[in-house]
Amino acid sequence: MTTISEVTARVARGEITSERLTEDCLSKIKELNPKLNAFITVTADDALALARQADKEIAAGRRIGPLHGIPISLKDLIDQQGVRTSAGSLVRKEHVATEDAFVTARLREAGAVFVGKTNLHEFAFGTTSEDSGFGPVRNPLDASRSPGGSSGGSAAAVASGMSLGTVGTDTGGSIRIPAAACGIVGLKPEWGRVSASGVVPLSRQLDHVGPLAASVADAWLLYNAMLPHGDQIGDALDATSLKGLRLGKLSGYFFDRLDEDVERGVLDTIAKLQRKGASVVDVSVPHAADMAAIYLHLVFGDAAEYHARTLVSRPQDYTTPVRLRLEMARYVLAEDYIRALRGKDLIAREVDRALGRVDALVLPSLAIPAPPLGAQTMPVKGGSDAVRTLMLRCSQPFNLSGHPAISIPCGQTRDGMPIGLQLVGHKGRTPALVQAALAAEALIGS
Amino acid sequence: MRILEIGAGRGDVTLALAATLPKDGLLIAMEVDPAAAAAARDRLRSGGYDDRVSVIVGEPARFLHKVRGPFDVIVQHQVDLPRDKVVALLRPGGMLIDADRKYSEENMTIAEWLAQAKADAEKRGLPELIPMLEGLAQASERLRAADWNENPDKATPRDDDQ
Repeated sequence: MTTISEVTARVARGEITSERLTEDCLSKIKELNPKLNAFITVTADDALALARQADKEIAAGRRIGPLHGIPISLKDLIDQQGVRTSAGSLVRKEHVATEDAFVTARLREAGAVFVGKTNLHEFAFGTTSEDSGFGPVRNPLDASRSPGGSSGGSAAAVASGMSLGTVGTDTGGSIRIPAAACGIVGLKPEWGRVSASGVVPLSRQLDHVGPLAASVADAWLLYNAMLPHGDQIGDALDATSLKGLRLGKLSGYFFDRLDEDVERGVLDTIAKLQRKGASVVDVSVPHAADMAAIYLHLVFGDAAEYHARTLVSRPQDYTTPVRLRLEMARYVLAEDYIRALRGKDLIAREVDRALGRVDALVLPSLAIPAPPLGAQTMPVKGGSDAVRTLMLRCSQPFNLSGHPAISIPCGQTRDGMPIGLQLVGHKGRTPALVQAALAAEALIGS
Repeated sequence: MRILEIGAGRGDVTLALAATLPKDGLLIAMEVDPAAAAAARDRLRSGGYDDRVSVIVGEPARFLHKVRGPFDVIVQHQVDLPRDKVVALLRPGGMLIDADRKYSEENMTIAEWLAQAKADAEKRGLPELIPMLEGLAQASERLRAADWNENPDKATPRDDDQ
């Protein structure tokens, strides 16, 4: 995979143009999208116009920064002025955004070139990207499998070179799950750091907007550009030293139901980090087993509120599985929703406590490798379980708690599918998390 | 005042309704079980209400169309009649009382809620929701059993416990 960090230096030196990079992405889209279905909308002409403009500015010595002229994509849940935001649903097939979402505007200011809007699980309400009004997305590493989701098209686009970076959203793992399933990096920021204004909601209290990219450095670059002006830190960070890095390995629930190869890959990586000087202690989240129930009530309750009107007025425009889940959501009782709100606060305190004496938590990003399209269950240690439950298992805790979390690739299963390692950082210390991820990434790649 | 009671049983509610009727009022009570209907008739006679109450013996679903409306009040007990057919017998602004709906009478447990939700899904033509609702009920049950819940039997909640 081409990284932004590599090519942007070449763009700055005039060795390659934005137009060329953009053409490369567009030709990859032309070649691969009929098979992978990663894009719902391709804005080729606008992208080339933006690229030529960037080339002119850079040639005139007015380079804005590392994203200037870099072709990226946006999950089709995020508004881009003048382009349809379908949310992966025929319910919004006629909706054209009248202005940019906050993140789109920020990336536009940073000089990014938008090549298109990526496919997703309809309304981000699912983990496989199979149920989309525009057809299922396929995994670029094995087209018989899901790319994960809900930001499945985004991850497939980066993994296959159709864009150099992308913006996704994560309500229960929708950035980290597809990043892990496609072998790329996904950063779910701390809740509230990156504005979700102009992004179609699933559950506002759990929705996060963040980058998927080919490397940790690229993810940081995109994340930094998405922040409000006053919050920006810098385009590049140094890796932290592994010597003395304190990691908390989440025990119990988080390692209970894993695919055998995923477990081995993650444990091997943790052992490797330890050998390079990181200290690893076992930590726990005592109410971890309640998290799925808490999450379900919050996401379903919130989604029912947003979708109530169109479920009645245009039910035929939803895919059947998503429509049924939304219909089911309308039966959540207020008292149980309130219990879930209290549970969410409790989980946030317990994650804080688990982080008490360590720099970051470490666990798998995704309990299973990318599942075959259509799979309802997958085998894991201790039996088999529903795909959706398994896919959310390791990621949803940090949507409830709001902590920043990043998924980086850490090896492969025996049949060649990527495995994701998840690192979770302290609130208010996302740069430190990314610095630890940079160090882990360098070690895994060595 | 005209009242229709569907599923009168042995007349427990019928007697109470009869007592509210003015002299020129009318109460029609339907009961499928002949023995229960006979008992109801006897009790109404001893109460002195037989001049304004008549008890029809038979399956409500089969006899409903023979009853002439409109009624001011319809009371129904544990009967599963098409609601629109019942409502059609009410005068505009009349009142339908579902006397034995368990939901309002018994404890609101998850099991009760699930039964209601399933029946509702079925009625709406969404039987696919039934297994999903069972999953939701399990999750709700889990939340209700969680040890973080507060309740009036516990010590008064304090912020600094959190």
